[in-house]
Amino acid sequence: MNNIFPFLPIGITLVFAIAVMLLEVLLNGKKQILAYVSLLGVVFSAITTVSLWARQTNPFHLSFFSEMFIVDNYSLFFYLIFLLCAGVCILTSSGYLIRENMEHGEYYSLVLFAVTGMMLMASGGDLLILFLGLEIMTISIYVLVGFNRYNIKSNEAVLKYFFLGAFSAGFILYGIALIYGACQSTTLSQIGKVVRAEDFAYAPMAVMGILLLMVGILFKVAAVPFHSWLPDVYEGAPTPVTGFMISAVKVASFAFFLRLFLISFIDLKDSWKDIISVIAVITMFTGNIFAFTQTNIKRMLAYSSISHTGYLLIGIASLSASPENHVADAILYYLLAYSVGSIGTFACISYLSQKDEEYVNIDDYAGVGFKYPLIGIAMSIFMFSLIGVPPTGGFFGKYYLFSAAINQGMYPLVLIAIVNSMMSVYYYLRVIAVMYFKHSDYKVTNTSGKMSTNLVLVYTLVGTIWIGMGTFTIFSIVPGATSVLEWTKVSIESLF
Amino acid sequence: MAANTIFFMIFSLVAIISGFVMITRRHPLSAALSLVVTFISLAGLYGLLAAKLLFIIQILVYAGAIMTLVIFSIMLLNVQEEDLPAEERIIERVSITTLILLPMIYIIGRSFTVIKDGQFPEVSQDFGTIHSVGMFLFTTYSFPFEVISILLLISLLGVVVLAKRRI
Repeated sequence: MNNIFPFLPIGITLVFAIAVMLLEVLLNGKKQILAYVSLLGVVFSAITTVSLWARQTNPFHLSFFSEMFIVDNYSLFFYLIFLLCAGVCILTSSGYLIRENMEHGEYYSLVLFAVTGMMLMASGGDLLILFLGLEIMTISIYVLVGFNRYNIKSNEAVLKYFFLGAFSAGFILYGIALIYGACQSTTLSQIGKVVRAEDFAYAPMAVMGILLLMVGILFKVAAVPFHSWLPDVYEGAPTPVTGFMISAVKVASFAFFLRLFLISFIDLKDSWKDIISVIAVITMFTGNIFAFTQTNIKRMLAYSSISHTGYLLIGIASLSASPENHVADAILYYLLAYSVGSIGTFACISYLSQKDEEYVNIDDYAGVGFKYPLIGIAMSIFMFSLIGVPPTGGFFGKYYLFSAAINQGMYPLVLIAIVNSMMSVYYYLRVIAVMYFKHSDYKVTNTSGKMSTNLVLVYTLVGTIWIGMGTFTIFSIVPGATSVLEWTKVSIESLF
Repeated sequence: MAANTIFFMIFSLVAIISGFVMITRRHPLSAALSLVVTFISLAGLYGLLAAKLLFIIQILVYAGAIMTLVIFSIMLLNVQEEDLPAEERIIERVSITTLILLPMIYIIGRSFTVIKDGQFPEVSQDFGTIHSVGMFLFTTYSFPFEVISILLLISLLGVVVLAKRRI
């Protein structure tokens, strides 16, 4: 049993994905059941993840198949984020799919398969597994983006995403090949050892590999020279899928990024630190400036997610080899706060939008705040969290990330990031202002999926506040619960 | 010069030239045919490296199966040269791209000068044979091998979702 237990979270997700796929054929007509079945899978998987964390003395580090598959606190932390996002995505989808007339069971199955891929990305200890996880995730996401085949925007989005994504996968593979050539291994810890050696002769070759890998990963997290696909894809994809992409897919790419660079390439930091810093600055500015001009809320949030990538890249640029500096835990914390906030926002948007993706302009939200009080409040708090207003999770995310970067001496970067955060206040607040202060009645009435949306909103709202409050031990609401910050610390310690 | 080096030169030159031809031809069919030449010369390179299984797969799957599919779909679509969109300002685009890639070329050049004195490990006698690749797949790499099956399953599912008619 002890040998099987670490595989349970990923195994349960996979089994439920296959089960949903088969049930789709067996159950004729009763598609609603499939949503509940897949939700059950997510819940079971989350329970095993939590109990896995609780059973061990933390930090723990278990590796299988000659370090190809690693289960440690780091991967469990990410498992929980993915499962949370998948649960929210499934709950918001059930109403959305009925409204858009595309209720097929494969949708839920693909969401669960995507989570399987993400879990492999979070716990892969070998470049091979990391790449396979990435591909499992992206191929499922390609199909989900193009799931609405009768929507021309959805078709455009999937085509664009598919071609550019395949291209970036090529870059990643080329980088892996060069790194394998230089280090004679694809295992992350082994690469780290080879790179650390004094007489490492193949450094230029390894650097070339790192740069190519970086191009591929930066494409996945949408950093600026490689961001052009993102607004169109986020706009064209079905709204719950966009929410899933903006949170879970981005977090998974950062899980890959962080483990790879922290374990393998930290000793070649001089070669990539400056590049990442420059990209971080361009990414922040581009994301924020373009977000100003958007009228469609999905596009606006797409650009704002680009700017969040920029903030996170500051963290990557100031990584260092010892866990005492807390840069990496700040990144984890930020990712958690950001993903909860943005998936909650998209739950609101997919509830408010109408058939064929109507009513997704910011101006359409006039009067929402009074007609749907819960959605109004939830949306405002998520926006405050994305801006970084205390006491939401977003504030503490930014606070820890920036102060950790300052400790590493990244003053100019942090200064630019703070200026950018101030710029972002305008477009986030505009949404709230339209919801509450623009005099117009919100005419549209929504029927489907009210229950599940309310459930999701309460769940993510509590999450956003709790991530903010949970960092103070004086405020710990749940007796005996370790604060979120403690979890991120343990996660990073388990890596080394 | 060893025969090995001469063959390497021939194969790599053919691969580069036909790759260049592939991107400069306007007609899709001639582009596809020059891609076949690239694949075959790459297979030759794999053969020189004693990767026997890879050599066979390259010929059978890439130069054979996939290219047949590509050529068939080009012929079925019946693309005429006048249907293709006009390509504007090729010279500017190519020169800007080259300018952007210059630092990369510098890094490649530097790594070659370093690697020149490097030691390359000797491979074992049965390197690249079907037997040894199979042994690796089912022992050391059994986990990725199983993971690939999920990848294939998803591709299958994805094709069904994207291609099936309205029910």
